[in-house]
Amino acid sequence: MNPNQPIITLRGLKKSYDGVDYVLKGINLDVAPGKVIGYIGPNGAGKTTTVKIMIGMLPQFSGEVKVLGLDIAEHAQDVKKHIGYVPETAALYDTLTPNEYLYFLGQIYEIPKQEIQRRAGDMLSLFGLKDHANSRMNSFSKGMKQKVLIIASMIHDPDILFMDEPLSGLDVNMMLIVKEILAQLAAKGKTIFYCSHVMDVVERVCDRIVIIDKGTIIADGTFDELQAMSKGESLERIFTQLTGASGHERVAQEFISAFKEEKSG
Amino acid sequence: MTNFILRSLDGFRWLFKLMKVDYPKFRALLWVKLTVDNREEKSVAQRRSDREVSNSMIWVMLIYIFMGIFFGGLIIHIPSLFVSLVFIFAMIMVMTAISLISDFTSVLLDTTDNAILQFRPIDSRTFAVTRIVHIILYMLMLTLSLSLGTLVFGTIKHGLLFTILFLISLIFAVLFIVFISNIFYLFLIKVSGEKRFRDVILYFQIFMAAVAMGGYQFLPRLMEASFLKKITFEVRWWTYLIPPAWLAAPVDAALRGTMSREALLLTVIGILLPIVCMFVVIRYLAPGFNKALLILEKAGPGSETKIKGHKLPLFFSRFVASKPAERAAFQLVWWISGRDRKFKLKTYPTIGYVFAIAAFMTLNRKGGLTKALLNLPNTKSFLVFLYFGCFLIPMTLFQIRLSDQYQAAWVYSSLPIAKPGEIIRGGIKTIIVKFGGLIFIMLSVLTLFIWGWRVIDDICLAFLNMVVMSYALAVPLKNDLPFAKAYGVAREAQKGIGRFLFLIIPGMLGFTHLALTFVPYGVLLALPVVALVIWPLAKIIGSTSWGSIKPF
Repeated sequence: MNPNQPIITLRGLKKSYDGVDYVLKGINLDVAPGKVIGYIGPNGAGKTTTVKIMIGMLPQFSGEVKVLGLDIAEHAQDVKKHIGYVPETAALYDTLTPNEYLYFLGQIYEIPKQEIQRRAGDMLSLFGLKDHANSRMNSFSKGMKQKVLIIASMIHDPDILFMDEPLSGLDVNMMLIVKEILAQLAAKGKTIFYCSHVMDVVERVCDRIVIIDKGTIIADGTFDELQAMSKGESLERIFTQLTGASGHERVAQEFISAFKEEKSG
Repeated sequence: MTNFILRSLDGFRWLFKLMKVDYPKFRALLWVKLTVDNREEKSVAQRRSDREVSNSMIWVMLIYIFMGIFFGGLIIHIPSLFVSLVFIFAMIMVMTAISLISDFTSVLLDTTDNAILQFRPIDSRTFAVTRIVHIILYMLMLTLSLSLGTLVFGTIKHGLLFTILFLISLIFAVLFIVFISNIFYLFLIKVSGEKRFRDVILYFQIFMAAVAMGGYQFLPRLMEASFLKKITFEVRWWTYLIPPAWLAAPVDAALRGTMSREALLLTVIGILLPIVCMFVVIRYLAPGFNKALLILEKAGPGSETKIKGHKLPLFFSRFVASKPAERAAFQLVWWISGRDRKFKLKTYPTIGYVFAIAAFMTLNRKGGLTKALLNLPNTKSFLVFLYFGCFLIPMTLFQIRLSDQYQAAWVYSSLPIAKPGEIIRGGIKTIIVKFGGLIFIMLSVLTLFIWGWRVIDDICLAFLNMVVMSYALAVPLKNDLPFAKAYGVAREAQKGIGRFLFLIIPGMLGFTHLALTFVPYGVLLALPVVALVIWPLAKIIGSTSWGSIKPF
């Protein structure tokens, strides 16, 4: 890829599930290769929908989506070979063992048997799963499954990695390792599209932060730029300012007072 | 077993390549499917280690073999090999079709592994073919068990050539059924818009079920009784429309050593049609398959459907359920059973079968339709009406235990519920009211309209019988909380036997009732007896304790 050319291009991306309400109301975004993009927004803002469109899991949308220079509506198959995805939900065949699951994926990505076994072995032992490589995953904890999902998303050495809340369930040590891996992958020229709610991770890991709310991008820039723009200190504050969610204390208070029984009647 | 299947398929690699299927990916996908099936099955067995059930698929096959022996005997009884084969193939094909429609359509349209596979580079054709081959493997196991009787009897009577020819025809029969139904499903995906498809498929299921069952009821009437005694069979124009005849013709002709022009034509249809269907499915319809699966997946966050009218379950629950937990379960099961796509996909076809059976049973009289209709008040056909309201109950009793979201069942154990039996009983009451009672009321109004007030005692007895049947059938299932078990492919097949066995029970009740109508005051005397049985049955189910609930 030409480093000057964006690796992901979204133009006027709109998505509606029922033809009336739009989940995405015209997203425009260019992502340069070798960057870590933080894509954040409140619940239901359209983060997962955007990602699912870019990886070809939502075929119906309007607007233009180009990934790796290819139009996703027409070349989904070619795009899928070069991207990795960590879904929000821990979706895997949990009656298989990690080794079996990774070997299966290797066949789908057409990686030679020896190579996939080597990669799977290395990655599993680096993530502390060496002793569990041949046990069924239905006995795994959430964190262990998450580790397998992260390995599974990278096993074919993708050019772009889409991650939806990838650190959920991981302990602090593991989080640090994954963050470092992301930084090193970016240094190697890989692009990472990182969706999350956890602000301090996004703040530290991402080169650029895109905030989405109600289907539109409301802020876009480096952390410093966003800070300068809204005079906030932490990303959390910037986030709440931009997404208009204020009065948290009042909401909390009303929440608590919901326990009060009605006096009348 | 998995390895054996995959090795055997490797021999047909060229065929898959010819159909532009990515063979290594196909093989990997099929390996995953079969391995997962196998392990799910095993883990279920392990969890119930206190019971003797080790491999339910074997049980299914044993029962199918047993059933197959009965109609396999036809090959000895009916002098014409052609006629007997037509009957046997009809039997096998209908059973296969029914099993396909009610159990395996959900396998074809399964969306649970979308999140694992749909962003991977697997083309739509390979994906569809994997699903279809997976289904065919199960279908072959079922048909082989069903036809074992015929194979043994036929080989004894006609020699080894019969065995070979019959097995080949059998494969074509399975291919024909699987691909012709896939043509319908995939075509439906193509023509109906993305949003409508989810609803259309449900109505189509009912329609397909009615066609399969209706076709089966219709066939013996085409084959007039005189044919059964003759050695030779006269081919008429409509013979070409009976799929079993296409497969029976070559076996018959080869064994007799002469191939008539008609038999040749039938054979050609029998071989060509499955291949053409296969070609159409794989070449033209499969490319849209992935997209359809993505559409079928649960609605996106933006398409919230506003639910109106929750009043009905609340209203009913006040009358039928006294305990709060029972009432809550009643409403929960009512709501979920009306919304869960898989639940509907599996229970709706039963309506089709029941409709076809009831229509034939009431109207199948000599002298044409109008005469049959006019003569209706003089018959006891109202019993058919009344009892066919019960046919949905066995199926739904089975189904409410299963859900894709079975993990959500943790909530039951987290609640302060002393007796989980109350939850289970609440669910059964929903079934009695929603899937039995409402239909029953409609049918009894119709019955009163045609037969008048003199049958009111029969209506009462039929209703009580329905309630007793629901509880009685629920007793062996009382260790499962509503929607607390996962679906599994092998288990789909296992349920198949349940369905066949359970279909007999409403019929048996109906016949007992019929017998009682000949006894003076029989029906009136039976009323209190049946009413008294309800209470202890309800008590048994309601007192199920946590100890006997299977762990999730």
